Amino acid sequence: MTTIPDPEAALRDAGYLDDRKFTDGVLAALPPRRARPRTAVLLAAGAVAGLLGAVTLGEPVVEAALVLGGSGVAGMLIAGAVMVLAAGTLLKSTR
Amino acid sequence: MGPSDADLAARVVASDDRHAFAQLVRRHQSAVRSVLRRLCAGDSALADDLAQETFVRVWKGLRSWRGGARFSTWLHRIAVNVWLSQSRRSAPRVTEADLEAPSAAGAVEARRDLERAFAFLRPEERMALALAYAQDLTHEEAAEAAGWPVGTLKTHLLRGKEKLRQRLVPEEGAA
Repeated sequence: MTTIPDPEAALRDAGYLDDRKFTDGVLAALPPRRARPRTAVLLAAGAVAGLLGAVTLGEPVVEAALVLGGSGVAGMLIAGAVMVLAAGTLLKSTR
Repeated sequence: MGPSDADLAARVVASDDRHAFAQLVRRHQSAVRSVLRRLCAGDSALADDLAQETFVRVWKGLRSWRGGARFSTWLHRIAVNVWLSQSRRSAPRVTEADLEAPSAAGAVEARRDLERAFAFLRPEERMALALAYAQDLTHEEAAEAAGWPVGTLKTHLLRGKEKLRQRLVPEEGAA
């Protein structure tokens, strides 16, 4: 071991460590992306909204669920949004 | 000037933005690895393993960083905790022979000798020295990262510096 005349100065001089591949290694060690609940929440909200809209318009719940489920994910969202709009319009017109 | 640590952290939390996280890692990797090399008494491979584990924990726990402390203080606290966990699990990998091996002269070798001399210090003295001389940390932040009052940090700092001086400074009159 060498002698260091001024250890305090040596302590201050930590130097800069080049990244090299360190950051790449960290990124490779990260766990996989967390599944976001956003998609599931949107789907559920769309489906519930669609069912509520259907019920509000007087459609049977089972039939409405079958139609929404059979039309696929995008269809469910669109149908949900359309039915909410329809329900809102209907409610406004009855006031 | 790039985005602040807080901005990058917010992007990571909001959308798992790995590009923003990579920027945080690149910005702080040198400081964290330097501190861990001292804590690990010059075992650079172990220090880099622990630094990687530190950043993985940061990724997982970034939501818990409230911004009350500076990001670098919080990061160093995690690094110290990772090192403490590791040192409880296993014996030091630096041997007596490593410590007594002569080094060539030069700045890099001197830095390595300084790191190896940390093996002669008690864990709390290592922590105090490594954190108090970490790039970018005040004594208050170093104490916070160690989980001590500032007075405790200063006590360990003094003892550690004295031990290092005894180990590394050439005696007067010596050839």
